[in-house]
Amino acid sequence: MRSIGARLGISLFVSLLLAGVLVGQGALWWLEREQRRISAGQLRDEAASVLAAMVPGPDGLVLEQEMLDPAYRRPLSGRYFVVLIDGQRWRSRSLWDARLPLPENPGMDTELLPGPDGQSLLRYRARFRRDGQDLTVVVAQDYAPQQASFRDTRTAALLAWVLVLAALALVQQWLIRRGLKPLNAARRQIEQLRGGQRAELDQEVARELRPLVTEINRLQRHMEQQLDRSRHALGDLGHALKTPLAVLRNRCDTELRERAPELHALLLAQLDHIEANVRRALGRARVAAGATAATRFEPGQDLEALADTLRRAHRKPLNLMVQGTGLPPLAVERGDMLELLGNLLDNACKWAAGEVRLTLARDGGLLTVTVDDDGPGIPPSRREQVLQRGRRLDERVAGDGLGLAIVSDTVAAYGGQLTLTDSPLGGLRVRLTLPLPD
Amino acid sequence: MRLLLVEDTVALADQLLPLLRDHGYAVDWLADGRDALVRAHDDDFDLVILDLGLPGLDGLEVLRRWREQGLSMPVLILTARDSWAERVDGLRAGADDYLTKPFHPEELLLRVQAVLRRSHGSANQSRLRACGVELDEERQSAWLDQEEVELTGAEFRMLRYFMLNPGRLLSKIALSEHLYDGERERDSNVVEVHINRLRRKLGGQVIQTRRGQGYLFTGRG
Repeated sequence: MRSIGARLGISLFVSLLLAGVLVGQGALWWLEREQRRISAGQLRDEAASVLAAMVPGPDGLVLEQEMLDPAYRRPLSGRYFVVLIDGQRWRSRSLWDARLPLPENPGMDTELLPGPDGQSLLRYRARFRRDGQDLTVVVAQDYAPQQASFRDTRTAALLAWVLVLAALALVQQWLIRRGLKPLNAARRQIEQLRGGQRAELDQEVARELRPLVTEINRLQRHMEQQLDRSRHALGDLGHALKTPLAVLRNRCDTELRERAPELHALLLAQLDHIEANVRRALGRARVAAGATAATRFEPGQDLEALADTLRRAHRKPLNLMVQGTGLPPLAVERGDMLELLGNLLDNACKWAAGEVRLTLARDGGLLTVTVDDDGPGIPPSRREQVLQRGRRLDERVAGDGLGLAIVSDTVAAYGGQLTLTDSPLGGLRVRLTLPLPD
Repeated sequence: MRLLLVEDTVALADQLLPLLRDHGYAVDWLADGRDALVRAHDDDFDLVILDLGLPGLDGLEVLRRWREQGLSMPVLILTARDSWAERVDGLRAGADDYLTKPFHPEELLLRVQAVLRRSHGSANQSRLRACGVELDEERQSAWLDQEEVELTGAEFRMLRYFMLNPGRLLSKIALSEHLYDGERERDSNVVEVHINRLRRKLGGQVIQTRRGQGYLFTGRG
């Protein structure tokens, strides 16, 4: 589908061109008709003046040359006459040796006649009665000069018309661009909405756009509420399952550890299994994979708080360094990002001897998160296996495996990548890249 | 140490109350967020264990209001909400620690101990040390010059409170408020009896009496 702007521009230009051609052609036709009408009037007067030059002589009528326009005497001057009287044919001297075919009907002849010397003759035939004699006067005039000036006028008009058309086209483009401005503004706002820099679209838009904007806002709110509701429902489900699990585990610990060690171990293992699966399922369902303005991750606000949370959770001296708190808000949902970072850091803190480093960097549309630790690391041969295990739900693992599973799910939901390498600190380096919308 | 447990699951509270009491804490229990909001003003709790999904008023909101009202007692959140965003929000709202369900009872005890020590400015070591006296909270016994001194539960509770507040003048009322929960009748004579027993076991100069004002833990140095 072509752009609305281009379509509007082309159709407006075509209509302008069509109207221009029609009006121009009409004007030319009208102009020519007027010209001929005026010429006809002139020729009629000429015929009258020729008649006036006929004076009674001794043998009937004679042509008084002195009374004629001098142009009739100059050869091939472009003005001619022929008088038919009593079977005689009087010609103007200007005709010289050319013949002037006479039109059949009286009045203005509609055809232009090729004349001598490349002239184009317009003829007029008039019948008179003078002193009891019938006579016919035919006058002719060269129409070529008028035609030439007419052509000049037409060329000039065409040139002016092209210029006006070009100017109008420019004005049109400007108007279209101006008219489409609200549309472009709305498009930019939608981009911002997607990038999480804005909570909703501006309602103050053109009347035609308002229903669209209102609908988009409604959908956006609906989506947020839906997400919020399902997250709350999941949280409630988690609560509903985990508290009984805690009760069972505690009871199992206090009552069965000594009395029935085998049963105790079995129950604990099964409880761990249930817990891991609940946690994994909740974690997976919680991934939002998209941020709004209200839910964007703001490194400056959350990174230090997260690091603090981890320092408290691990009761050992840890040097937990965070780089990248200066980044602007990112288009990753806050809950997702904290879940990613929290799990990665939690793992790192678990294995680290004393040092953990988190680095956030943004390179264009790509966010890179690096977590380094100085723990034992994972040998290259086992890394793929660890990632695979993280991706599988039915694995009987709790603790570290589970955290990586949630990370794996979240990264997949964002279309990112997760790699394990050696860390310069001596342990494991987990590196993940997430594509960010602009 | 006087704790407030705010937990709406009766089965869990039934397990936690004896566990905490066995480890020398006086515990009051509430199940409703609105009650907790008010109750924290009435008594001087040393620590609150707070569930988040509470009837009446959400735990996080209770915590926020406490902090707005100027209450600064340490709060340990104990909840099933285990996402990292919720943990960060919990600490932001003013919690001192965050423990997620299901949990191991030992883990809860360690966290409670760590939060209490941190809130009193003590380092987090395996034994609590103050003024030449060491306290083993696991075995509920005191150590003087590498020599273990057995303590009764009541003596252990009192010594721990003194050691977390070294050099601070503690009135008899304050002592009984922090060592006994709301259900037990308070008798200021009991405080005196236990102080005398501690003096007998650890040496007379360990706890000094300021007449009309209260007691002062000066230890052995």
